[in-house]
Amino acid sequence: MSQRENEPRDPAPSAAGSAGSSDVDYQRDLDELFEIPPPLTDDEIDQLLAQRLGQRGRRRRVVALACLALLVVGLVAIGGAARHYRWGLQNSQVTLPFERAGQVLLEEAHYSFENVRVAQNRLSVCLRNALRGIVARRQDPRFEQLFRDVERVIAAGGGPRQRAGEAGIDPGLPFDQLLERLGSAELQIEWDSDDSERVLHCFEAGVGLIQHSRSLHPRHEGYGARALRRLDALLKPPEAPSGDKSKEQ
Amino acid sequence: MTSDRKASGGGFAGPPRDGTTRNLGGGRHGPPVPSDGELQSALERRDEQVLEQWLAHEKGFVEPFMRRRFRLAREDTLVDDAIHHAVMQVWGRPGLFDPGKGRMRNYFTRIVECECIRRLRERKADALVHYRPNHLLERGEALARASCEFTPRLRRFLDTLSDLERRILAADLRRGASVPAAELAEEFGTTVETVYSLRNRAWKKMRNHLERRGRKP
Repeated sequence: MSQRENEPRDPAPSAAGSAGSSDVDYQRDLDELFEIPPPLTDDEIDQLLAQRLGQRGRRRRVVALACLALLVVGLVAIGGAARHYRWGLQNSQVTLPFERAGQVLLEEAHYSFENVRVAQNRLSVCLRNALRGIVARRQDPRFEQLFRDVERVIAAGGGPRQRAGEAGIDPGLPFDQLLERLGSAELQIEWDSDDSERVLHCFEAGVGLIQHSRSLHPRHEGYGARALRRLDALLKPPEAPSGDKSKEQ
Repeated sequence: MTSDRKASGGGFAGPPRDGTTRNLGGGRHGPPVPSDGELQSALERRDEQVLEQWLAHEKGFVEPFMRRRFRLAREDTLVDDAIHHAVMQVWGRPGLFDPGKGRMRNYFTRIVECECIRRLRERKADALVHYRPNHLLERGEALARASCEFTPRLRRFLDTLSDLERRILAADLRRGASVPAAELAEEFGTTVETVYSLRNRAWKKMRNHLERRGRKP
């Protein structure tokens, strides 16, 4: 710019044919006016092509990094889901006490209610695990029989009622009473301890839930809330903090 | 071969993989790209295949590079024509390439660039010959023209030139600035002095316009 300003105002091109510096200026002005870029030097071409190659390499690296990040996120998500699933199962393992199994059942129900089929499967698993826990703790083979009964109930539904009818017991009884009667009649199990009572409630709620879900449309909204309320009520420990607070108040 | 490689330079993507070929950037997954020396000897023995192989790689860089440089649309065939011209030149006169002066890629890019500039100048000169000032156009036509070859700002400048001034500029643009004035005078049916005078006046206006516009350093 400054160089140009130093030139005389009147350019006076040597248009007679000699290719002087004013001709070069004239050509440059023409190109500039019509927005035609000036030719590049060898160094500029080198630089620009290398830059372009670099850009291409950079773009490749960015894409590779993005893919890697996506892969990591995906793996973390899958790992998280798997861990959660394992957590649910691990916490309802045989060694856990029954109360914990009940809590897990409740949490699983809470967690899985968006998908009824998943809820069913999870509840079945939890129920089985809870009962396995009882069987292992009590070391009573009769519980194993009960476990098989409940399994049959879960698998087909109505198994104990059918058996109760065959044994001369009223099949229309609530499920816990039915199981108690059935157990007493066939297996002579005594149902006087708290945990066994809870186990029955738990099974009743879980199995009822499963049976109930079979009769309803999977997307029935009331299903989840009602079943949860039942489970909540049944599985609430007697020494719940809310009860204590109300007593204190 | 070693001297060839020396002359051809190291390439952008590192040293050659083996004794006969070097690999440039994008050729990593495709067939090996011939080195400058290989290409030159292939051109001398009229081996089209090597040229095609080299071109398949280089075109991928040169074409988008030129399109961006001259702001050309994808459907504009100017760059393709220029590349074709460059290929014909490389093929037809292989002796013009001097490995001592630089790489084949630069040589080829330079030919394409010069051809692009020449064709662009021709295109602009054609548009300038057929230019009609805004006040002679209908409204709809003026709007349509405004979005064509010249920007509205440039059209405003061109409106300040006389018809003969525009034709002189077009001739200079098309044939280079050193067209003899006598030749133009004969072409336009006027005197040499008139051509001198009109050209000077047009250039002065042009410089004023460029300075007002904010000339690039």
